[in-house]
Amino acid sequence: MKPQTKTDRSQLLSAYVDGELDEVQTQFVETSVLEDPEARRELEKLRALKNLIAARRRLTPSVGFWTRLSTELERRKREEENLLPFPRKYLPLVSVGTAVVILVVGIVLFQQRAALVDYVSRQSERVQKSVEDNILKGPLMPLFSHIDKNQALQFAMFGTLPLDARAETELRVNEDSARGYTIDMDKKGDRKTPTVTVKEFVDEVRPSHIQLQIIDSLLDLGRVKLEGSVFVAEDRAMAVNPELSRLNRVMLSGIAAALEPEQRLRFERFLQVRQAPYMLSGGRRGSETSERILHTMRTRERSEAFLVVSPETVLVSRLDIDLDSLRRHISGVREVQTSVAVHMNSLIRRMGEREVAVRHRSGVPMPQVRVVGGSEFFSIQIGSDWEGLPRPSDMWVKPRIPVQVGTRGRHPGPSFNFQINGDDSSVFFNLDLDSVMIRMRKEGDAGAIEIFKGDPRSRNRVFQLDGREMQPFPDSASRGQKRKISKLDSLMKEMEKREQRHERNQEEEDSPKPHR
Amino acid sequence: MSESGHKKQPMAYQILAQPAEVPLQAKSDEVLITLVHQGEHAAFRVLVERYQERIRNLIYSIFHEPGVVDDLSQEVFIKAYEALHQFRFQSSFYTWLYRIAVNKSRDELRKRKVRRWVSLQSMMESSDKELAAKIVAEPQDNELQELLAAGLKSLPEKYRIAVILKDVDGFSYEEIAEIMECEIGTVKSRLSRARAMLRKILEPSLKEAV
Repeated sequence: MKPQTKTDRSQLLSAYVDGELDEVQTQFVETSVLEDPEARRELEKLRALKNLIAARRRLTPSVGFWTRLSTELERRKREEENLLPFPRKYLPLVSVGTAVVILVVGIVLFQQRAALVDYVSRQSERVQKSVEDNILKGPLMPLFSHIDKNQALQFAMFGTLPLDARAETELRVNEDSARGYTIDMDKKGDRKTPTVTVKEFVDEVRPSHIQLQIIDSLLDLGRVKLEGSVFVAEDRAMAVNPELSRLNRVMLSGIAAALEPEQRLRFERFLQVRQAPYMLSGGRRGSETSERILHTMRTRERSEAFLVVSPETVLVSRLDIDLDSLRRHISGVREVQTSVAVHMNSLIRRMGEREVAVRHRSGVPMPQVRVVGGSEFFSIQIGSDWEGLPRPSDMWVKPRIPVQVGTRGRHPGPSFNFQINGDDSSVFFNLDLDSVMIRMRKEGDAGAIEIFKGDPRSRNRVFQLDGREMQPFPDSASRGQKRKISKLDSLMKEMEKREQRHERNQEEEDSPKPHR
Repeated sequence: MSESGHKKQPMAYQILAQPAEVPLQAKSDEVLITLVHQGEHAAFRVLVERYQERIRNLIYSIFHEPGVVDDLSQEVFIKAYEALHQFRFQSSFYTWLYRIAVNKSRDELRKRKVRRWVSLQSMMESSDKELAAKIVAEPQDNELQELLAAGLKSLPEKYRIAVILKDVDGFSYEEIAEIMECEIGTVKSRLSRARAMLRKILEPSLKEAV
């Protein structure tokens, strides 16, 4: 046998010194030591070290070690016994007894669980009631009391309604794929509230008389629902029906469902030109018809579950509000709207910067709700799990995601096609993947695509050389927008021509043929 | 190794083989443990007195701090007393007790977050009066002993314990593996490595010794 490395030799010598080698290994080491002076020196050093360690100083025997140890053992035993209110020998018996008692109590509780749940629920209701009684003080006043159909259409298209006469603040419902649904109340600032009228809609979309009746009913029902969705109490607490967060999309979907395909194209153009946050989804199979949407809006019992928001708390509460009697009550009160707006603005100010999670209440469906307040706004965020809300899959409209596309600098790059359609995002391109980096990102409600030429790993260096910053190119986006609109225009012109041809043919067929 | 020897005999044979009039001090570890199991507290005292100095010296070798020796040794025997009813005679009591001592020492080392590499200079400069009072004056060179203690303390815990168990307490590789809960090959390499490290520290002194 032969050790392979210096480490092997050291281990072998170390084990030899310890007398832990077998006969063959011992023989090998002894031969090696005789032949190799270096191994001999190492062995001698190891022996010297071993002797040195073995001869190291030892402690003097401890006197009274057992006395101290037994005292400590006794002390610990006493401590342990003091913890028990009974002699230690009864410990097993007491343990068994405790286990039996727990088992019996558990069985009794399990058998009486229905009564127990009922009791806890009643107690919870009482606490809830007491909280509610202290939140909504005085008569409730509707935040919106005289909404006309133009405002209803504006709400349907843009999800916004001004809160006060001076239009300093506005209510805005928003659909955000990341956060779910939000109802925001804030100061408009420089933001311009888009306006639209029913007349403009009729002029551009050209619905038939019957369609107009349906749309009129939809707007009317939407108006009523809007007025019955937000209330303000005297103590500046507010009650909001969470269905409000999807009401605009339901209304818009109802309008789209009432239209014929070519009218839908016009409606799509109408929405696009006004930069509405929704676009038509093309009418998926199973989408609700306008009659069904109307029927549902009419017959659906008004949800009694309201989100009650005060500067101190947020809770879900059942409120049985008789809107007609409320209207009669406030009809005599002067400057109701001013008063409501003052309360509302005061609530926004008092909300401050905070975040409140909704309080639980048994018996009421629980959505994920958060209220986030700032110095001049507050936002109610409602999760998409709220049972009372219509399903987005049944809708005729879906959120529009504005897209901006750009290539870097003067690099023209090969041509590419892309398509982004909100939920169904897809990108098609015919570029070599190694030479191009595509980045998709989201800014607020808008999505953006940036396309870079060159190796992504060295893009920073390229930028430094180029001296330019990454920027999307709005010109390119607006060109794309214009192209899409012009495509719609040509499609509609073609349809109109077809209609005219069809009408001419009809007229020719209907006109009496001359006798020969 | 242990006073009762390491050859394991069946328990029944051992107990029957002990005459009734034999004093506790003369009984084997296994018989004493059986007596402790039967509630004879005095038998535990004999076990403690039999091994207390070895455990104290083991702890002293590991820490080289007389201040912790008695406290930690006491903890070792308390732990042994509490766990004695779980002792199933699958190993010798001696190695079982050493395993407790080694584990307690490791816990203490981790608790203190002792630096692995202690400054040799600071160790050399330390003058501990208590240490001087507790250690037996041997006819060894005091400086060399200090150097050895500092060298041992500078070893990582697993090397230090292995070399102490072998060279101070004279355990076999198999017993060290059992105490340290590792393989025999690991013990072999740890010892070799520990000695190589110590040789580097003590090189000049070893030359003189050789």
